[in-house]
Amino acid sequence: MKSNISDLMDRWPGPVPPLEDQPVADLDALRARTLEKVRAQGKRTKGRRVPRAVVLAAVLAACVVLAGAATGQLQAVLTRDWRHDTLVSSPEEAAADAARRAEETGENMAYGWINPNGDPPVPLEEMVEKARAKSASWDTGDCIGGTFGPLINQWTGPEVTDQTGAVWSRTIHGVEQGHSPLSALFPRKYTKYEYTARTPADLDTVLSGLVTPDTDWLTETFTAPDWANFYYRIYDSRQVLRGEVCHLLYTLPEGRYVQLSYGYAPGETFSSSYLMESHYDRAETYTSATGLEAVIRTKNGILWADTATPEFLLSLYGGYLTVEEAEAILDHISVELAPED
Amino acid sequence: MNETKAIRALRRGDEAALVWLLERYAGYVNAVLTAVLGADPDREELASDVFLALWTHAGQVEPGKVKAWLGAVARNKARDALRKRRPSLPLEEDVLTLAAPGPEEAMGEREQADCLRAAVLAMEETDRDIFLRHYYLCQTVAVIARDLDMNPSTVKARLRRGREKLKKTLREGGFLDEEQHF
Repeated sequence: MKSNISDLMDRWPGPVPPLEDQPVADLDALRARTLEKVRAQGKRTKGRRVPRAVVLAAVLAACVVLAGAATGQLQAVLTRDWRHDTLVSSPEEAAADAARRAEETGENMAYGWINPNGDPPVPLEEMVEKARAKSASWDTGDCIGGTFGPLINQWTGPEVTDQTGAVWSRTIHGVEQGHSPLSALFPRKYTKYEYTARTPADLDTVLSGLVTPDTDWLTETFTAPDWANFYYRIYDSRQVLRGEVCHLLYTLPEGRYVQLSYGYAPGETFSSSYLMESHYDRAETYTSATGLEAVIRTKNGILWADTATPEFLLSLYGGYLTVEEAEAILDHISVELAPED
Repeated sequence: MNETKAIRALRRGDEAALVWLLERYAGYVNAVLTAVLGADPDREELASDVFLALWTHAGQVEPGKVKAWLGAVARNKARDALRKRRPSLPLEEDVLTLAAPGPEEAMGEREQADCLRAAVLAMEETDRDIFLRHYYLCQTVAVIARDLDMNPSTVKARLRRGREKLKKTLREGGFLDEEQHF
């Protein structure tokens, strides 16, 4: 492979040559020109949306499947739309609430509730092992897919971009095949930028800032097993953000733990589901000091806490975590969602 | 606002964050473009392209490395613009025959970049400055000689020394075809 030195310098990793800043003659014009191009690019990409089913599956996968499948919590009624946010005391109350919402929106929606099966929490060792599944196969690609819905089934990679420091990164490519002849001819392509770190505090340096856990407080209060965290962002072929997902695991003495997960899919809307108070040892709503409204419930040693907006879900899955500890964690998490259009 | 917050906001599509970064780094981007292109009227257009690239690829830019990232993009855009005007750049080039990448291409390129970095950083300071001006910023020998107040033949001699050092390091790292003789 022939190359000359200036070509080779295309991959020059720095440091940058020592250059004095040179003021731009007309900064206002540069600012205006750049924003003009940004907005023109936005218009070109408008209308390319990930199918609702894909995004719904993504957020569910992020926030429910990891903990729910392990615990058997999903044994009950599955409905068309999920949102873990409405506590009710009886099926009649759920039916009445659903009817009221249908009247408000003019749309009849199926509804149902999650019924915990009463199993005890997943053992801590198993949680740690699951949480390390990504980092354990970072450069082999044994565990790269399956988190963004059933239509994207051709994840390829990984292309490891860093596996040396406290934060590892890699790139995964995905093709959404779809079922229609048109989608088969023009499959949509996505790129997933994935990160795992020695500790959640290390991972914090690459988070988008959508969710800001107080990692200082969390680190003081809990212990974070090494490399037991995972975060990714997905972009489409136009580099438009399509979603992000994060999982952090913290432990406490005597085999107790909490996994914090969140998923975000901009531009999508999710409707709600119901939680039956009688199915739990304890169930209540809680508003955190940071303004998060959450539903917290416990049963046989498991704690679930969820907070949701139409396009965002954040959940805690705790093994023998107390309600008070869950509330304290929520008090130390800030969420900054972009304003709706 | 700081750089970490700005990058996070940029990833969420916050134009204010882009403006903040533009105001912070426009001078540096302009310096890189000017170093490559001179007083070229297209610099502003290229500068806006550089910041558009930052907007488009915000997910790939890490906080703390924004300046270096912008510098590299500015350099490559300026170099492309230069090539469109002059397909053959007036550089003191040697064609290197690089070892063909293996199945682990991405890893090989990373190692090659590390090797390149080690070789350039090992150069004596003035040699390194001249080397980067010439091969990274595409400045001619005449321009470097003028800016550093040197004789052009001295600049050429130092460039030759830098090239030899680079080849030696690349060869030792296994990145040059062993059949190639220099």
